[in-house]
Amino acid sequence: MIADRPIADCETFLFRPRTAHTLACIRAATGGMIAYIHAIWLLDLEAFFGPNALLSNQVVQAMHAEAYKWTYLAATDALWVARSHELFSLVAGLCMCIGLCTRWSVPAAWLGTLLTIHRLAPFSFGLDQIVLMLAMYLCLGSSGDVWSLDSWLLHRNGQSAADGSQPGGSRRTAWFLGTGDSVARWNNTLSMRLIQLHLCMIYLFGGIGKLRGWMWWDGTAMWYSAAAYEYQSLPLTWIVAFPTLGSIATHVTLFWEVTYAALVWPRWTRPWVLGMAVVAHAGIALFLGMITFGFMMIVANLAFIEPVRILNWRRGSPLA
Amino acid sequence: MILVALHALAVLAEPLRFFSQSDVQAAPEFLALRRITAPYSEWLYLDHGYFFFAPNPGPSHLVGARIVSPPPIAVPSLSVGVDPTRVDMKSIAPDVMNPDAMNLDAVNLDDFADVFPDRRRQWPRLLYHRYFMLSEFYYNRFAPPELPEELRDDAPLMARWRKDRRFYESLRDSIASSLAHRHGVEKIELARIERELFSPEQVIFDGWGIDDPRGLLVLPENRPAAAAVEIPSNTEVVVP
Repeated sequence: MIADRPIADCETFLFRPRTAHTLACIRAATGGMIAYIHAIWLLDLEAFFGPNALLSNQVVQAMHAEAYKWTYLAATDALWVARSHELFSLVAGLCMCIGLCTRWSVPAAWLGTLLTIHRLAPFSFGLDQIVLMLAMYLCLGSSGDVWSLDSWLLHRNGQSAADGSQPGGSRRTAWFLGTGDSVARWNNTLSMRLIQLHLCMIYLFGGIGKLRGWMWWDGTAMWYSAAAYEYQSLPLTWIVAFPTLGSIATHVTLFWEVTYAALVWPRWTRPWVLGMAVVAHAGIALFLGMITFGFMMIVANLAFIEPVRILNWRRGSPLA
Repeated sequence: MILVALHALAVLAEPLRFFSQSDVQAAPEFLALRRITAPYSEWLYLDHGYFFFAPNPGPSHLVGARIVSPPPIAVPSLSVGVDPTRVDMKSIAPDVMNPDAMNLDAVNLDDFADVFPDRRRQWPRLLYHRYFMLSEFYYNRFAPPELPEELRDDAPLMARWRKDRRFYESLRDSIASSLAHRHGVEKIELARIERELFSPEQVIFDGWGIDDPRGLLVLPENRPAAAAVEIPSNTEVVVP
Protein backbone atom coordinates (compact mmCIF):
# COMPACT_ATOMS: atom_id res chain seq x y z
CA MET A 1 0.00 0.00 0.00
CA ILE A 2 2.79 2.39 0.92
CA ALA A 3 4.64 1.54 -2.28
CA ASP A 4 1.48 2.05 -4.30
CA ARG A 5 1.05 5.65 -3.24
CA PRO A 6 3.98 7.21 -5.12
CA ILE A 7 3.02 5.28 -8.23
CA ALA A 8 -0.55 6.46 -7.94
CA ASP A 9 0.68 10.03 -7.43
CA CYS A 10 2.85 9.75 -10.51
CA GLU A 11 -0.05 8.42 -12.51
CA THR A 12 -2.23 11.28 -11.35
CA PHE A 13 0.55 13.74 -12.15
CA LEU A 14 1.10 12.41 -15.66
CA PHE A 15 -2.31 11.23 -16.74
CA ARG A 16 -5.17 12.97 -14.86
CA PRO A 17 -7.30 14.19 -17.76
CA ARG A 18 -7.24 17.83 -18.82
CA THR A 19 -8.82 19.79 -21.62
CA ALA A 20 -6.71 21.03 -24.52
CA HIS A 21 -6.95 24.81 -24.07
CA THR A 22 -3.32 25.30 -22.98
CA LEU A 23 -2.05 23.00 -25.70
CA ALA A 24 -4.15 24.81 -28.29
CA CYS A 25 -2.37 28.09 -27.48
CA ILE A 26 1.03 26.39 -27.70
CA ARG A 27 0.01 24.66 -30.92
CA ALA A 28 -1.04 27.88 -32.63
CA ALA A 29 2.21 29.67 -31.75
CA THR A 30 4.45 26.69 -32.55
CA GLY A 31 2.73 26.06 -35.87
CA GLY A 32 3.11 29.70 -36.84
CA MET A 33 6.79 29.61 -35.92
CA ILE A 34 7.37 26.41 -37.88
CA ALA A 35 5.82 28.03 -40.94
CA TYR A 36 8.07 31.06 -40.47
CA ILE A 37 11.19 28.90 -40.04
CA HIS A 38 10.52 27.12 -43.32
CA ALA A 39 9.70 30.40 -45.06
CA ILE A 40 13.18 31.60 -44.09
CA TRP A 41 14.81 28.43 -45.48
CA LEU A 42 12.86 28.98 -48.70
CA LEU A 43 13.94 32.60 -48.88
CA ASP A 44 17.57 31.64 -49.45
CA LEU A 45 17.06 28.07 -50.60
CA GLU A 46 20.14 27.76 -52.82
CA ALA A 47 22.41 28.74 -49.95
CA PHE A 48 21.04 25.94 -47.80
CA PHE A 49 20.30 23.16 -50.30
CA GLY A 50 21.36 21.94 -53.69
CA PRO A 51 24.66 21.57 -55.50
CA ASN A 52 25.93 25.00 -54.46
CA ALA A 53 24.84 24.94 -50.83
CA LEU A 54 27.09 26.43 -48.19
CA LEU A 55 27.20 22.99 -46.60
CA SER A 56 27.45 20.27 -49.21
CA ASN A 57 25.84 16.91 -48.66
CA GLN A 58 29.34 15.43 -48.26
CA VAL A 59 30.02 17.74 -45.33
CA VAL A 60 26.71 16.90 -43.69
CA GLN A 61 27.28 13.18 -44.20
CA ALA A 62 30.79 13.45 -42.72
CA MET A 63 29.41 15.41 -39.78
CA HIS A 64 26.73 12.81 -39.10
CA ALA A 65 28.87 9.78 -39.97
CA GLU A 66 28.83 8.51 -36.41
CA ALA A 67 25.49 9.95 -35.40
CA TYR A 68 21.91 8.80 -35.80
CA LYS A 69 20.80 11.84 -37.77
CA TRP A 70 19.53 10.49 -41.01
CA THR A 71 17.56 12.69 -43.36
CA TYR A 72 16.76 12.12 -47.01
CA LEU A 73 17.55 15.80 -47.62
CA ALA A 74 21.26 14.97 -47.23
CA ALA A 75 21.05 12.28 -49.88
CA THR A 76 20.09 14.42 -52.82
CA ASP A 77 21.23 17.68 -54.40
CA ALA A 78 17.97 18.18 -56.25
CA LEU A 79 16.67 21.63 -55.39
CA TRP A 80 13.10 20.71 -56.26
CA VAL A 81 13.15 18.07 -53.54
CA ALA A 82 14.27 20.58 -50.94
CA ARG A 83 11.81 23.19 -52.20
CA SER A 84 8.93 20.71 -52.08
CA HIS A 85 9.93 19.59 -48.60
CA GLU A 86 10.12 23.14 -47.28
CA LEU A 87 6.82 24.11 -48.90
CA PHE A 88 5.15 21.02 -47.49
CA SER A 89 6.51 21.78 -44.00
CA LEU A 90 5.47 25.42 -44.28
CA VAL A 91 1.91 24.43 -45.18
CA ALA A 92 1.89 21.83 -42.40
CA GLY A 93 3.01 24.55 -39.97
CA LEU A 94 0.22 26.86 -41.13
CA CYS A 95 -2.35 24.08 -40.78
CA MET A 96 -1.01 23.36 -37.31
CA CYS A 97 -1.31 27.05 -36.45
CA ILE A 98 -4.95 27.35 -37.46
CA GLY A 99 -5.77 23.85 -36.28
CA LEU A 100 -6.70 22.29 -39.62
CA CYS A 101 -6.40 18.48 -39.77
CA THR A 102 -4.51 18.89 -36.52
CA ARG A 103 -3.99 15.19 -35.82
CA TRP A 104 -2.03 15.00 -39.11
CA SER A 105 -0.60 18.47 -39.51
CA VAL A 106 1.18 18.51 -36.12
CA PRO A 107 3.20 15.31 -36.76
CA ALA A 108 3.81 16.41 -40.36
CA ALA A 109 5.13 19.82 -39.27
CA TRP A 110 7.31 18.20 -36.61
CA LEU A 111 8.74 15.60 -38.99
CA GLY A 112 9.32 18.13 -41.76
CA THR A 113 11.19 20.42 -39.39
CA LEU A 114 13.18 17.55 -37.88
CA LEU A 115 14.36 16.31 -41.27
CA THR A 116 15.34 19.83 -42.28
CA ILE A 117 17.31 20.41 -39.11
CA HIS A 118 19.26 17.17 -39.58
CA ARG A 119 20.32 18.52 -42.98
CA LEU A 120 21.05 22.03 -41.69
CA ALA A 121 22.25 21.37 -38.13
CA PRO A 122 25.12 23.90 -38.20
CA PHE A 123 22.60 26.68 -38.87
CA SER A 124 20.45 25.71 -35.90
CA PHE A 125 20.22 27.24 -32.44
CA GLY A 126 17.96 27.28 -29.38
CA LEU A 127 14.89 28.19 -31.41
CA ASP A 128 15.00 24.89 -33.28
CA GLN A 129 15.49 22.94 -30.07
CA ILE A 130 12.43 24.52 -28.45
CA VAL A 131 10.18 24.38 -31.50
CA LEU A 132 10.96 20.71 -32.15
CA MET A 133 10.53 19.87 -28.49
CA LEU A 134 7.09 21.53 -28.36
CA ALA A 135 5.95 20.04 -31.68
CA MET A 136 7.05 16.56 -30.61
CA TYR A 137 5.05 16.69 -27.38
CA LEU A 138 2.08 18.28 -29.14
CA CYS A 139 1.93 15.14 -31.29
CA LEU A 140 0.87 13.28 -28.14
CA GLY A 141 -1.97 15.61 -27.19
CA SER A 142 -5.31 16.44 -28.79
CA SER A 143 -4.65 20.13 -29.25
CA GLY A 144 -7.06 20.34 -32.16
CA ASP A 145 -10.03 19.67 -29.88
CA VAL A 146 -10.50 23.35 -29.13
CA TRP A 147 -9.77 26.70 -30.72
CA SER A 148 -9.09 25.11 -34.05
CA LEU A 149 -10.55 25.08 -37.53
CA ASP A 150 -11.13 21.36 -37.01
CA SER A 151 -13.37 22.05 -34.05
CA TRP A 152 -15.24 24.76 -35.93
CA LEU A 153 -15.75 22.52 -38.96
CA LEU A 154 -16.84 19.58 -36.84
CA HIS A 155 -19.41 21.59 -34.98
CA ARG A 156 -20.75 22.90 -38.26
CA ASN A 157 -20.78 19.38 -39.72
CA GLY A 158 -22.35 18.05 -36.55
CA GLN A 159 -25.24 20.42 -37.03
CA SER A 160 -25.53 19.32 -40.64
CA ALA A 161 -25.47 15.65 -39.67
CA ALA A 162 -28.17 16.28 -37.13
CA ASP A 163 -30.22 17.75 -39.94
CA GLY A 164 -29.64 14.53 -41.89
CA SER A 165 -28.03 16.44 -44.75
CA GLN A 166 -24.64 14.64 -44.56
CA PRO A 167 -25.26 10.99 -43.75
CA GLY A 168 -22.06 9.07 -43.05
CA GLY A 169 -19.96 12.18 -43.33
CA SER A 170 -19.08 12.42 -39.66
CA ARG A 171 -16.90 9.29 -39.63
CA ARG A 172 -14.85 10.47 -42.59
CA THR A 173 -14.41 13.94 -41.19
CA ALA A 174 -13.47 12.52 -37.79
CA TRP A 175 -10.63 10.61 -39.45
CA PHE A 176 -9.16 13.89 -40.64
CA LEU A 177 -10.33 16.37 -38.06
CA GLY A 178 -10.61 14.38 -34.83
CA THR A 179 -13.66 14.44 -32.63
CA GLY A 180 -13.57 18.10 -31.75
CA ASP A 181 -14.99 17.46 -28.30
CA SER A 182 -13.81 19.84 -25.63
CA VAL A 183 -13.40 17.06 -23.11
CA ALA A 184 -10.60 16.31 -20.64
CA ARG A 185 -8.17 13.69 -21.92
CA TRP A 186 -5.18 11.93 -20.37
CA ASN A 187 -2.99 12.51 -23.42
CA ASN A 188 -3.37 16.29 -23.04
CA THR A 189 -1.99 16.06 -19.52
CA LEU A 190 0.86 13.81 -20.62
CA SER A 191 1.77 16.27 -23.36
CA MET A 192 1.72 19.22 -20.94
CA ARG A 193 3.71 17.36 -18.29
CA LEU A 194 6.42 16.35 -20.75
CA ILE A 195 6.78 19.96 -21.90
CA GLN A 196 6.99 21.06 -18.25
CA LEU A 197 9.58 18.46 -17.31
CA HIS A 198 11.67 19.14 -20.39
CA LEU A 199 11.60 22.87 -19.68
CA CYS A 200 12.78 22.22 -16.13
CA MET A 201 15.74 20.25 -17.48
CA ILE A 202 16.60 23.00 -19.94
CA TYR A 203 16.61 25.68 -17.26
CA LEU A 204 18.42 23.50 -14.74
CA PHE A 205 21.30 22.69 -17.06
CA GLY A 206 21.30 26.21 -18.47
CA GLY A 207 21.68 27.47 -14.90
CA ILE A 208 24.36 24.91 -13.97
CA GLY A 209 26.31 25.90 -17.07
CA LYS A 210 26.23 29.53 -15.98
CA LEU A 211 27.32 28.61 -12.45
CA ARG A 212 30.63 27.50 -13.97
CA GLY A 213 31.31 30.93 -15.43
CA TRP A 214 32.92 33.69 -13.38
CA MET A 215 31.10 36.46 -15.25
CA TRP A 216 27.82 35.16 -13.84
CA TRP A 217 29.31 35.43 -10.35
CA ASP A 218 31.08 38.79 -10.57
CA GLY A 219 28.00 40.36 -12.15
CA THR A 220 29.50 41.28 -15.53
CA ALA A 221 27.68 38.68 -17.66
CA MET A 222 24.85 41.08 -18.44
CA TRP A 223 27.31 43.66 -19.71
CA TYR A 224 29.26 41.18 -21.82
CA SER A 225 26.01 39.85 -23.30
CA ALA A 226 25.02 43.43 -24.15
CA ALA A 227 28.47 44.10 -25.60
CA ALA A 228 28.21 41.35 -28.22
CA TYR A 229 27.55 43.36 -31.36
CA GLU A 230 26.46 40.37 -33.42
CA TYR A 231 23.62 39.68 -30.98
CA GLN A 232 22.47 43.22 -30.38
CA SER A 233 19.13 44.38 -31.74
CA LEU A 234 18.01 47.26 -29.51
CA PRO A 235 20.88 49.09 -27.78
CA LEU A 236 21.59 47.76 -24.32
CA THR A 237 25.00 49.32 -23.82
CA TRP A 238 23.46 52.06 -21.66
CA ILE A 239 23.61 49.45 -18.90
CA VAL A 240 27.32 50.24 -18.65
CA ALA A 241 26.36 53.42 -16.79
CA PHE A 242 24.53 51.37 -14.16
CA PRO A 243 26.95 48.62 -13.06
CA THR A 244 24.91 47.73 -9.99
CA LEU A 245 21.79 47.28 -12.10
CA GLY A 246 23.75 45.07 -14.52
CA SER A 247 25.10 43.01 -11.67
CA ILE A 248 21.69 42.56 -10.05
CA ALA A 249 20.16 41.58 -13.40
CA THR A 250 22.96 39.03 -13.87
CA HIS A 251 22.43 37.45 -10.47
CA VAL A 252 18.63 37.47 -10.67
CA THR A 253 18.87 35.69 -14.04
CA LEU A 254 21.33 33.16 -12.64
CA PHE A 255 19.35 32.32 -9.51
CA TRP A 256 16.05 32.26 -11.39
CA GLU A 257 17.42 29.79 -13.92
CA VAL A 258 19.04 27.54 -11.31
CA THR A 259 15.93 27.42 -9.12
CA TYR A 260 13.30 27.32 -11.89
CA ALA A 261 12.94 23.52 -11.77
CA ALA A 262 12.09 23.65 -8.06
CA LEU A 263 10.14 26.89 -7.70
CA VAL A 264 7.88 26.59 -10.72
CA TRP A 265 5.81 23.83 -9.05
CA PRO A 266 4.55 25.38 -5.76
CA ARG A 267 1.43 27.42 -6.38
CA TRP A 268 2.66 30.54 -4.57
CA THR A 269 6.04 30.78 -6.31
CA ARG A 270 4.86 29.81 -9.78
CA PRO A 271 3.55 33.25 -10.84
CA TRP A 272 6.88 34.84 -9.88
CA VAL A 273 8.92 32.24 -11.72
CA LEU A 274 6.77 32.52 -14.84
CA GLY A 275 6.73 36.32 -14.60
CA MET A 276 10.51 36.29 -14.48
CA ALA A 277 10.54 33.96 -17.52
CA VAL A 278 8.52 36.51 -19.46
CA VAL A 279 10.85 39.35 -18.44
CA ALA A 280 14.04 37.37 -19.18
CA HIS A 281 12.92 36.05 -22.54
CA ALA A 282 11.35 39.34 -23.60
CA GLY A 283 14.74 40.90 -22.81
CA ILE A 284 16.50 38.32 -24.99
CA ALA A 285 13.95 38.89 -27.73
CA LEU A 286 14.19 42.66 -27.70
CA PHE A 287 17.84 43.32 -26.92
CA LEU A 288 19.79 40.24 -27.97
CA GLY A 289 18.27 39.85 -31.41
CA MET A 290 16.57 36.52 -30.81
CA ILE A 291 12.94 37.53 -31.12
CA THR A 292 11.90 34.11 -32.35
CA PHE A 293 13.72 32.22 -29.60
CA GLY A 294 12.55 34.57 -26.83
CA PHE A 295 8.97 34.33 -28.05
CA MET A 296 9.00 30.54 -28.20
CA MET A 297 10.46 30.24 -24.71
CA ILE A 298 7.59 32.37 -23.39
CA VAL A 299 5.16 30.13 -25.31
CA ALA A 300 6.78 27.02 -23.81
CA ASN A 301 6.25 28.47 -20.32
CA LEU A 302 2.50 28.56 -21.05
CA ALA A 303 2.59 24.82 -20.32
CA PHE A 304 2.56 25.71 -16.63
CA ILE A 305 -0.79 27.46 -16.89
CA GLU A 306 -3.79 25.23 -16.28
CA PRO A 307 -6.32 24.97 -19.13
CA VAL A 308 -9.13 26.08 -16.84
CA ARG A 309 -7.26 29.31 -16.07
CA ILE A 310 -6.73 30.05 -19.74
CA LEU A 311 -10.39 29.35 -20.39
CA ASN A 312 -11.39 31.71 -17.59
CA TRP A 313 -9.11 34.45 -18.94
CA ARG A 314 -10.68 34.10 -22.35
CA ARG A 315 -14.19 34.19 -20.90
CA GLY A 316 -13.27 37.35 -19.08
CA SER A 317 -11.70 38.99 -22.12
CA PRO A 318 -13.52 41.27 -24.54
CA LEU A 319 -12.92 38.67 -27.31
CA ALA A 320 -15.03 36.07 -25.55
CA MET B 1 5.08 5.53 -17.00
CA ILE B 2 8.18 3.45 -17.71
CA LEU B 3 8.30 4.92 -21.20
CA VAL B 4 8.15 8.42 -19.74
CA ALA B 5 11.05 7.59 -17.40
CA LEU B 6 13.12 6.19 -20.27
CA HIS B 7 12.38 9.26 -22.36
CA ALA B 8 13.47 11.52 -19.47
CA LEU B 9 16.74 9.57 -19.25
CA ALA B 10 17.31 10.11 -22.96
CA VAL B 11 16.76 13.84 -22.55
CA LEU B 12 19.13 13.93 -19.57
CA ALA B 13 21.86 11.86 -21.23
CA GLU B 14 23.49 14.57 -23.31
CA PRO B 15 23.63 17.35 -20.68
CA LEU B 16 24.94 14.86 -18.11
CA ARG B 17 27.69 13.71 -20.48
CA PHE B 18 28.44 17.28 -21.47
CA PHE B 19 28.72 18.59 -17.92
CA SER B 20 30.64 15.59 -16.62
CA GLN B 21 33.42 16.08 -19.14
CA SER B 22 36.78 17.38 -17.95
CA ASP B 23 40.24 17.52 -19.51
CA VAL B 24 40.89 14.11 -18.00
CA GLN B 25 37.73 12.14 -18.80
CA ALA B 26 33.96 12.10 -19.07
CA ALA B 27 32.10 10.27 -16.33
CA PRO B 28 31.88 6.67 -17.59
CA GLU B 29 28.30 6.06 -16.43
CA PHE B 30 27.05 9.15 -18.25
CA LEU B 31 29.04 8.21 -21.32
CA ALA B 32 27.42 4.79 -21.25
CA LEU B 33 23.95 6.31 -20.83
CA ARG B 34 24.60 8.66 -23.72
CA ARG B 35 25.78 5.79 -25.91
CA ILE B 36 22.75 3.66 -25.11
CA THR B 37 20.25 6.43 -25.75
CA ALA B 38 22.05 7.84 -28.81
CA PRO B 39 19.79 6.40 -31.55
CA TYR B 40 16.71 7.78 -29.82
CA SER B 41 18.00 11.11 -28.58
CA GLU B 42 20.02 11.96 -31.66
CA TRP B 43 17.37 11.27 -34.23
CA LEU B 44 14.70 13.06 -32.19
CA TYR B 45 17.09 16.02 -31.82
CA LEU B 46 17.18 15.76 -28.03
CA ASP B 47 20.98 15.69 -27.75
CA HIS B 48 21.65 19.18 -26.42
CA GLY B 49 23.72 20.45 -23.53
CA TYR B 50 21.54 23.59 -23.07
CA PHE B 51 24.61 25.73 -22.64
CA PHE B 52 23.03 29.11 -23.41
CA PHE B 53 25.44 32.04 -22.80
CA ALA B 54 27.48 29.73 -20.61
CA PRO B 55 29.84 29.40 -18.94
CA ASN B 56 30.55 33.03 -19.92
CA PRO B 57 29.38 35.24 -22.77
CA GLY B 58 32.22 35.15 -25.28
CA PRO B 59 33.44 36.88 -28.43
CA SER B 60 31.50 36.52 -31.67
CA HIS B 61 32.92 35.01 -34.83
CA LEU B 62 32.45 36.02 -38.42
CA VAL B 63 33.58 34.63 -41.72
CA GLY B 64 35.14 36.90 -44.31
CA ALA B 65 35.42 35.91 -47.97
CA ARG B 66 38.20 37.20 -50.21
CA ILE B 67 38.14 36.73 -53.95
CA VAL B 68 41.34 35.05 -55.04
CA SER B 69 40.68 34.32 -58.70
CA PRO B 70 39.03 37.21 -60.49
CA PRO B 71 37.37 38.51 -62.42
CA PRO B 72 33.85 38.73 -61.15
CA ILE B 73 31.40 39.87 -63.81
CA ALA B 74 28.17 40.08 -61.91
CA VAL B 75 28.04 39.78 -58.19
CA PRO B 76 24.82 38.27 -56.93
CA SER B 77 23.91 38.83 -53.34
CA LEU B 78 25.23 36.54 -50.66
CA SER B 79 21.75 36.69 -49.35
CA VAL B 80 18.56 38.63 -49.49
CA GLY B 81 18.09 42.09 -48.08
CA VAL B 82 19.90 45.31 -48.86
CA ASP B 83 21.80 45.26 -52.15
CA PRO B 84 25.19 43.77 -51.35
CA THR B 85 26.67 43.90 -54.85
CA ARG B 86 30.13 45.13 -54.25
CA VAL B 87 33.55 43.76 -54.86
CA ASP B 88 36.16 46.00 -53.39
CA MET B 89 39.36 45.61 -55.34
CA LYS B 90 41.17 45.64 -52.03
CA SER B 91 39.67 42.22 -51.50
CA ILE B 92 42.02 40.76 -54.09
CA ALA B 93 45.09 42.73 -53.04
CA PRO B 94 48.02 40.42 -52.20
CA ASP B 95 48.48 41.66 -48.65
CA VAL B 96 44.86 40.88 -47.84
CA MET B 97 45.03 37.38 -49.26
CA ASN B 98 47.46 36.24 -46.66
CA PRO B 99 45.99 36.40 -43.15
CA ASP B 100 49.40 36.46 -41.54
CA ALA B 101 50.34 39.53 -43.55
CA MET B 102 47.37 41.44 -42.22
CA ASN B 103 47.71 44.08 -39.61
CA LEU B 104 45.54 42.86 -36.78
CA ASP B 105 44.88 46.41 -35.64
CA ALA B 106 43.24 47.37 -38.88
CA VAL B 107 40.73 44.73 -39.86
CA ASN B 108 38.15 46.37 -42.05
CA LEU B 109 35.16 44.28 -42.96
CA ASP B 110 34.79 46.28 -46.17
CA ASP B 111 38.05 44.71 -47.31
CA PHE B 112 36.19 41.45 -47.81
CA ALA B 113 33.99 40.65 -50.77
CA ASP B 114 31.57 39.05 -48.35
CA VAL B 115 31.19 38.73 -44.64
CA PHE B 116 28.69 36.76 -42.66
CA PRO B 117 26.82 37.33 -40.50
CA ASP B 118 26.00 40.80 -41.78
CA ARG B 119 22.76 42.39 -40.68
CA ARG B 120 22.80 44.74 -43.67
CA ARG B 121 22.73 41.81 -46.05
CA GLN B 122 20.86 39.07 -44.27
CA TRP B 123 17.31 39.93 -43.37
CA PRO B 124 14.96 39.03 -41.67
CA ARG B 125 16.72 38.55 -38.40
CA LEU B 126 16.20 34.80 -38.37
CA LEU B 127 18.07 34.50 -41.66
CA TYR B 128 20.89 36.61 -40.21
CA HIS B 129 20.98 34.34 -37.19
CA ARG B 130 21.26 31.26 -39.40
CA TYR B 131 24.40 32.72 -40.97
CA PHE B 132 25.66 33.71 -37.53
CA MET B 133 25.32 30.14 -36.34
CA LEU B 134 27.23 28.89 -39.38
CA SER B 135 30.11 31.28 -38.70
CA GLU B 136 30.24 30.12 -35.07
CA PHE B 137 30.18 26.50 -36.25
CA TYR B 138 33.02 27.20 -38.67
CA TYR B 139 35.06 28.72 -35.87
CA ASN B 140 34.33 25.84 -33.49
CA ARG B 141 35.35 23.19 -36.00
CA PHE B 142 38.74 24.74 -36.71
CA ALA B 143 41.60 22.26 -36.54
CA PRO B 144 45.12 23.59 -37.10
CA PRO B 145 47.12 22.39 -40.11
CA GLU B 146 49.65 20.73 -37.83
CA LEU B 147 49.97 19.72 -34.21
CA PRO B 148 52.73 21.01 -31.97
CA GLU B 149 55.86 18.82 -31.99
CA GLU B 150 55.37 17.56 -28.43
CA LEU B 151 51.88 16.19 -29.16
CA ARG B 152 52.75 14.19 -32.28
CA ASP B 153 53.67 11.04 -30.35
CA ASP B 154 50.16 10.79 -28.95
CA ALA B 155 48.60 8.37 -31.46
CA PRO B 156 44.91 8.76 -30.46
CA LEU B 157 45.30 12.53 -30.47
CA MET B 158 46.94 12.45 -33.88
CA ALA B 159 44.13 10.25 -35.25
CA ARG B 160 41.52 12.64 -33.89
CA TRP B 161 43.39 15.64 -35.23
CA ARG B 162 43.60 14.10 -38.72
CA LYS B 163 39.86 13.49 -38.71
CA ASP B 164 39.07 16.97 -37.39
CA ARG B 165 41.41 18.59 -39.88
CA ARG B 166 39.88 16.68 -42.77
CA PHE B 167 36.43 17.78 -41.69
CA TYR B 168 37.50 21.39 -41.27
CA GLU B 169 39.04 21.44 -44.74
CA SER B 170 35.94 19.96 -46.33
CA LEU B 171 33.77 22.47 -44.46
CA ARG B 172 35.99 25.36 -45.55
CA ASP B 173 36.02 24.17 -49.16
CA SER B 174 32.26 23.73 -49.21
CA ILE B 175 31.56 27.25 -47.95
CA ALA B 176 34.20 28.76 -50.23
CA SER B 177 32.90 26.92 -53.26
CA SER B 178 29.32 28.05 -52.56
CA LEU B 179 30.39 31.66 -52.20
CA ALA B 180 32.56 31.46 -55.34
CA HIS B 181 29.53 30.25 -57.27
CA ARG B 182 27.46 33.13 -55.95
CA HIS B 183 30.09 35.66 -56.87
CA GLY B 184 30.76 34.14 -60.25
CA VAL B 185 34.46 33.70 -59.49
CA GLU B 186 36.80 30.74 -59.56
CA LYS B 187 38.17 30.78 -56.06
CA ILE B 188 37.41 32.35 -52.74
CA GLU B 189 39.45 32.24 -49.56
CA LEU B 190 37.86 32.35 -46.16
CA ALA B 191 39.09 34.15 -43.08
CA ARG B 192 37.94 33.51 -39.56
CA ILE B 193 37.31 36.81 -37.85
CA GLU B 194 36.80 37.33 -34.16
CA ARG B 195 35.08 40.28 -32.54
CA GLU B 196 36.27 40.77 -28.98
CA LEU B 197 33.97 41.97 -26.25
CA PHE B 198 34.92 45.36 -24.88
CA SER B 199 35.12 45.96 -21.17
CA PRO B 200 32.98 48.66 -19.52
CA GLU B 201 36.21 50.71 -19.12
CA GLN B 202 36.90 50.64 -22.84
CA VAL B 203 33.39 51.84 -23.56
CA ILE B 204 33.18 54.49 -20.82
CA PHE B 205 36.72 55.89 -20.76
CA ASP B 206 37.94 55.18 -24.28
CA GLY B 207 34.58 55.79 -25.91
CA TRP B 208 34.67 52.67 -28.06
CA GLY B 209 31.41 51.47 -29.58
CA ILE B 210 30.74 47.77 -29.47
CA ASP B 211 31.06 47.68 -33.29
CA ASP B 212 34.45 49.40 -33.20
CA PRO B 213 36.74 47.73 -35.78
CA ARG B 214 39.51 47.70 -33.19
CA GLY B 215 37.72 44.75 -31.68
CA LEU B 216 38.13 42.72 -34.86
CA LEU B 217 40.97 40.37 -35.59
CA VAL B 218 41.62 37.79 -38.25
CA LEU B 219 42.47 34.48 -36.68
CA PRO B 220 45.53 32.79 -38.16
CA GLU B 221 44.96 29.58 -40.09
CA ASN B 222 48.47 28.21 -39.95
CA ARG B 223 49.36 28.08 -36.30
CA PRO B 224 49.07 25.28 -33.79
CA ALA B 225 45.79 24.98 -31.94
CA ALA B 226 46.90 26.56 -28.70
CA ALA B 227 48.20 29.68 -30.40
CA ALA B 228 45.08 30.04 -32.51
CA VAL B 229 42.83 30.60 -29.54
CA GLU B 230 45.15 32.85 -27.62
CA ILE B 231 44.09 36.45 -27.32
CA PRO B 232 46.76 38.52 -29.04
CA SER B 233 48.60 40.92 -26.78
CA ASN B 234 47.39 43.95 -28.70
CA THR B 235 43.77 43.14 -27.88
CA GLU B 236 42.85 44.18 -24.43
CA VAL B 237 39.96 42.37 -22.84
CA VAL B 238 39.99 44.03 -19.48
CA VAL B 239 37.65 42.56 -16.98
CA PRO B 240 36.74 44.70 -14.03
